Amino acid sequence: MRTMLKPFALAAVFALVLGLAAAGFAASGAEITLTPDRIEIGTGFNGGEVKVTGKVPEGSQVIIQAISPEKRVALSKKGKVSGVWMTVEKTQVSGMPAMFKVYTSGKMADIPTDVQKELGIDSDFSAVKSLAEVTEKHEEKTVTLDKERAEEFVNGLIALYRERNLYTVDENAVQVAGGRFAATLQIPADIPRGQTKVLVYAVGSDGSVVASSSALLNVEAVGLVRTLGDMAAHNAVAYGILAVGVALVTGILIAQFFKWLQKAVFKEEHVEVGH
Amino acid sequence: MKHLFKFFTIRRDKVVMEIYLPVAGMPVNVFVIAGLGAMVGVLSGLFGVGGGFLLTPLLMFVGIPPAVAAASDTNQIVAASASGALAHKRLGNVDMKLGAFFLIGGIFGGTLGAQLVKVLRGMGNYDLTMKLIYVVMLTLVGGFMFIEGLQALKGKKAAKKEGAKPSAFKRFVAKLPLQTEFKVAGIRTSALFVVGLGFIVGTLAALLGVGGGFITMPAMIYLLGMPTIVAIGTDLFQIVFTTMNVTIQQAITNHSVDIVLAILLFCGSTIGAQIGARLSRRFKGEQLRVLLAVIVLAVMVKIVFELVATPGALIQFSSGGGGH
Repeated sequence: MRTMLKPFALAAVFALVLGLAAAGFAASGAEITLTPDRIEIGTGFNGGEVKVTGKVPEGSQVIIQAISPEKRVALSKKGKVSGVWMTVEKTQVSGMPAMFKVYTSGKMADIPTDVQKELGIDSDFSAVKSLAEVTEKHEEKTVTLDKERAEEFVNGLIALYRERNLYTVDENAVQVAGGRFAATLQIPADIPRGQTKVLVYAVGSDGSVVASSSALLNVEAVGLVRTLGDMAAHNAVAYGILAVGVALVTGILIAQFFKWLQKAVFKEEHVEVGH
Repeated sequence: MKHLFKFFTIRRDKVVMEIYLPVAGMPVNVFVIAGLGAMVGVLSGLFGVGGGFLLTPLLMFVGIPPAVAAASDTNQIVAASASGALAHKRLGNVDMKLGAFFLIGGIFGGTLGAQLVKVLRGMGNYDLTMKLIYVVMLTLVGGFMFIEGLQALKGKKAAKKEGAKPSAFKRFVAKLPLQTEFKVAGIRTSALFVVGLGFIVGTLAALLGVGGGFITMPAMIYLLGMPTIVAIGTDLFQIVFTTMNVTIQQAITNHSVDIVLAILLFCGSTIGAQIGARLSRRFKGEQLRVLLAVIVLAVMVKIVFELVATPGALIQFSSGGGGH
């Protein structure tokens, strides 16, 4: 499967990189390289790191952004009803990326506010917030919440993302020397799957963006995680039968093993276990 | 095969065995999960209880979404009860007729239970419902065991009240239609009652991720008057099929069964059960029963605390895991 998909993915990335690189050079030469440019969520996955390196015009400040595709999430609001906390409101939030990370070479305060606004990198994530649409279901009808009511859910969602290190702002986290920059993206364990866009901006001494470039980070499930995850989602009957089959076989085999162990090692004839 | 060796990941200068759960969509520490399984396994080996009613809450305490915890625990119970059921079947301890009637209710209840989970999750209050049922159940089970254990410790042989107390209930059951002879169990009772009991146990299996032995066993022994060994055999027999059905129903309806989690739990619990069975020969039964009661009540108190304590954040994800 993977080898079949690879040429297509490579071609797509290649075309994008060519296009972006051309655009980047036109804006006076920023380059960005991701190592690795692929995150594999396998059985042993527990987050990871991606090195971001490249070139920017000398003397500029560097801002790196990692933005994953937008994700629709269901949120619930808890309230106290007769002494017990329960869900009192349910909403859906769409339009916001599930991961939004910002790394800067200097202090955020050194970056002009209009540039911050333009790039959406202020530490309140206000640019991302403005993308959000919060809806609620009212008997088959979907209603969009007004800004005031929506804000509580959007702020709550950002707090949840921050807690999981999915939304971060790291100052002084990009090393710049002689027109080259380097930074390390911390990839949290629950990074959303799909293509994360990594962008680099060079801010010149006059406080404007003088160069930019971007690259794509492919995040995908592999191996057992992919096989089982896909099967559980799209082929539930087969997955259920597999789960039962695996349990029966493992259960009986391991019980046999322990019976053998008791006879061979502990020289016991009859030990009742469990019930 | 390659990914099997990726379990060992070296991070921050120490070896941590992390494994990524494909359905829960999160990494967990193998030792924590297998350790929980082992802990419950030791208890089940010591006390001869299934332990499902402790495992689901414990999984929730370590951050597994409630729906995934319950469904994967059910899957684990299939593995844990399969060989015992086979052994009892071979020894002739299973009343197949009673088991079959029980299963009619159990399959129906389990299927309905999985749908109930879906509806409750849609409303956003599955966690609440589940926790409330757990509080009631653990209070009853723990309270009963605690009192019984204390009485036994004091030397009062748990006075034989059973003869007098359930008689009204027995008379009621005797009036129900479909009175049937169950030869292996050596009893005559209403098949309707057996189906109804199966239905309740099946529903609870789906809602809570339990085998339901804590209901089935007292009902079979005290209410129906079955010999203990036949009650154990028949219970194990029905548990295998009820949990098989619930596992498949949960996979289809809620996409909440995590095979990797289930196998990890089972590996822990099966080793724990061996240890527990060995330990049980060294301790006094009454002391152990009080100890188990205390553990059960402690888990109950923790759940009550979760229900009434102000949550850290009022806005939470409501997906409840699964369905990636």
